[in-house]
Amino acid sequence: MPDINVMQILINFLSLSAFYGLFAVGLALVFGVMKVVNFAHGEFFMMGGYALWLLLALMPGVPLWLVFAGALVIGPLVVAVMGIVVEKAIFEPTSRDAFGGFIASLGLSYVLQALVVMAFGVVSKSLPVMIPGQIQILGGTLTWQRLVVILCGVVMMAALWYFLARTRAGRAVRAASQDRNAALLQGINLRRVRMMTMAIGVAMAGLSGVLMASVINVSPYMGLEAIWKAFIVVIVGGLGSIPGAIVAAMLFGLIDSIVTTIGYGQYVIIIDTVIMLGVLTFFPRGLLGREAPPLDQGQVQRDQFMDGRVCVGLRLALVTGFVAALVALPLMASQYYTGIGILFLINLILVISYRTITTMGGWSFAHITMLAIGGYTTALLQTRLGLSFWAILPLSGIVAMGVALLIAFPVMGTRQFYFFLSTFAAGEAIRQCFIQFRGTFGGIEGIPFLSPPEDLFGLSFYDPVNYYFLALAVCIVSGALLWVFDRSRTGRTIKAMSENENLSAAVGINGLALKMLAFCVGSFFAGCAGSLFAAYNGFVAPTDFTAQFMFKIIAAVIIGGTRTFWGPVIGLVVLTVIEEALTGANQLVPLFWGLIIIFTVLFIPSGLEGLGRRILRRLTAGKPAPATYQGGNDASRA
Amino acid sequence: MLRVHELTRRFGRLTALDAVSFEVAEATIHGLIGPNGSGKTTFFNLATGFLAPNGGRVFWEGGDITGLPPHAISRLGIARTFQNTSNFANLTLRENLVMAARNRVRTGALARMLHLRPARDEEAEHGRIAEAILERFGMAGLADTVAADLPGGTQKILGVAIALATAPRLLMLDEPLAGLNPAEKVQLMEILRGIREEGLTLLLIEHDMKAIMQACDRITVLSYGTLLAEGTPAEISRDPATIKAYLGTEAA
Ligand SMILES: Nc1ncnc2c1ncn2[C@@H]1O[C@H](COP(=O)(O)OP(=O)(O)OP(=O)(O)O)[C@@H](O)[C@H]1O
Ligand SMILES: [Mg+2]
Repeated sequence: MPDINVMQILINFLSLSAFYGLFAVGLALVFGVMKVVNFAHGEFFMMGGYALWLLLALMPGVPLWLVFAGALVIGPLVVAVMGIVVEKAIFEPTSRDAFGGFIASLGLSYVLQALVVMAFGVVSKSLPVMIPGQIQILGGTLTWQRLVVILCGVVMMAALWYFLARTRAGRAVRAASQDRNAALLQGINLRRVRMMTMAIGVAMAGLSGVLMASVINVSPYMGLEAIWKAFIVVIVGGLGSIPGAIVAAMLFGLIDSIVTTIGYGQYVIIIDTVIMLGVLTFFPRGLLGREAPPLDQGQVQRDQFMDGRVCVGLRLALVTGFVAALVALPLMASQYYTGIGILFLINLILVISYRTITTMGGWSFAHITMLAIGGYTTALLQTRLGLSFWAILPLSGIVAMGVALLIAFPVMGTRQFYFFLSTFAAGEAIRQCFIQFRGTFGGIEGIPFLSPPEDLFGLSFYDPVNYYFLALAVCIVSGALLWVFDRSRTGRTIKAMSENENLSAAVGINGLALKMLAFCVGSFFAGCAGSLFAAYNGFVAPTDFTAQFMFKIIAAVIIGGTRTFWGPVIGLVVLTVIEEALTGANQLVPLFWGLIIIFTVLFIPSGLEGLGRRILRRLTAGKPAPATYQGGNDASRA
Repeated sequence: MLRVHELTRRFGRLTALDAVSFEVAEATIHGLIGPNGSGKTTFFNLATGFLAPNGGRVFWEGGDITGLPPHAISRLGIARTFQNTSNFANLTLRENLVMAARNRVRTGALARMLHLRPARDEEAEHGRIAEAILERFGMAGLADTVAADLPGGTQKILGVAIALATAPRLLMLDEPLAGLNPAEKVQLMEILRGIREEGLTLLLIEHDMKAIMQACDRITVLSYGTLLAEGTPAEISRDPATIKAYLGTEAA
């Protein structure tokens, strides 16, 4: 039993809560007014860190505490200005489509990371301790640095409270976050309020970045690592609720402080996620989330996308051409391209199955986790039980489906952003399980020495060309099944249900079951893909299943479009071509993807499939059709 | 058929429905009236499982259905419409009604997921039922029109058709006449009476007094969440409390 130092727990609790509070309240504030989750919130945090690092580099010789004090002012200011630019460039143009804004912020997050990597390098910078020294209080150690964090947290919360409760501008912010229309009627300038909110929200992220910079190392990905915490805090607190965020920040401050102080720090992510899932089970809108929005659903937008059909012959020709190209590839191309082709096929299964999940209206961030689960299942069944690959392949899918069901149970009652954020957290926690439970999953090194599938009809799968055809076969079978599912009565019911949940429930459609079904079906095929992935690589390791990989899947689906089965396929082809064109300049890849995502959301919201469809229609029928899709997800559903 | 006992629902400090009890008899047209904000829609939401009551019970044919999810209640044979227009905007009218025919589905889940023969046949059958319903509502020519392209009044009537497509035994309509022109109103009331003749039960929320008084067998009056009066149209039109409630709030 480790020695429990209550005073130390208390001190850690205070400093952790102050940090979580500063970081997460900014996110909650922005969500309250804009109804958009700003995924790039973590990157503003990261920029706060770089602000301090830059100041230190620019001013050698100046006393550290002075630079630190300067950074505490300059960092948030710089970040606030960037926040305003982002609001004007991304959030304001997408203000009628909360989900589009969210996706664009996801792209922005990758753009910012890539820019920082290009400017300052990937390597993380460790900063000196800004204010050295510490005092002992009743057996607990309080470093000055932590004291500053606590003080800043308390001062900022007090200032925010004063601003929101006592000033005119603050009251406008509150009015706007309670009821947009009523605020407009009261003559509140919503644009100004949004700008102000964004500036304050990201400035808080910037401030916490400056504060934490010398505690955790400054790196381009520090935001991505930290945002996870902010998500958990705002989910548990209730999206958009500032008191909720504060309460949840203190709750997790306490939990994390106890867990780390008694020496289980490495399990923090897993423990927090389990708590989050528990809270969501009983409070689907978080602890202090608002009452459900009124039942009346806004008018559903008329979607002219599907008007007129592209002629059947042409579609058939395109599909045949695509499949023929896939068959021809390994016969014509070099071994290198065969390898690329195998990964492409695995990604193809992933994007097609991902689209199946999106048809139910929720975007999962755990799809790559399902791939990982399939991979690890394969590795364990092969190394421990010595099962045949042919039995493992479907089993991997089934295990992934089972895990999906476990996550889905608490998460499915929630909507849109909650679903995305909680699958994000759950995915990260599962990845942590792979890292932390070394005995079973082999830790960060993973599980090596997997063998490819046993020979079939005399074909050896050590030969990449044969493996390619195996992947192609699995891909075509999965694709065909998902295509049928998409057209089936169930598939169409899922889409109708996501368009109008209330009416669906009123006519006897079990929305919850259908959502779970879509999530499980999608995860099943991701698990199968994981099996192929593991057997091809010959090993599984947690470093293969990153947020970047997930981002690629989402990017393919966004760029291609989700309306038809073929959208994500087009998107993936385009992404893969870009990726190959940029070999040699790898750090440019996320930059390009991010920019393309933002561009797609802003200018072609129906994706490339929409664009392609319009062109094909014009070619075949000669009559132009307007495409006026306005993202169908209204913010009140969050 | 449908009976509620002391049904109560609060929104914060506001009591939208306060211990309301009444019963809807089989094969009748039952009217639910009351000034704006008196809790009529809230009553619908509680009875059909869209909201959970703070107190009280809902019984359907003797069984307790309080707290069941909406889709389960729908499958027991209670269909409802929404006060605002509500349909699957991007589907055609036929597809809308087929989507609503969930309660008529008999084929297995796997057949429906894999689009197998039995499921396709059943869906075609539901398409024919849908056409028959559209015919009845005078929309036979619109079967292949996308719902969002219809004018407002027709969409409102489509809402009733969707509810009927679920094969209900009780049809709960929330202000079906609002937004219709006089001719459409007469036509819809005619259809509703025809539906009652077939043995279905109807519960109507309506502000159009003339239509309500002509069509209903019984009327329940709500005011500020409490049950004010209940009786035949003749009794209600003479009821002093009802007259006062309406004069007090809607005389202008
Ligand atoms: N989801 C909700 N949250 C908060 N208050 C609500 C909600 N739904 C209804 N109310 C309130 O409950 C009261 C009753 O509303 P309800 O919609 O049941 O009235 P109604 O009789 O249908 O009125 P109308 O004739 O205008 O349709 C109103 O004061 C309304 O503001
Ligand atoms: Mg109403």
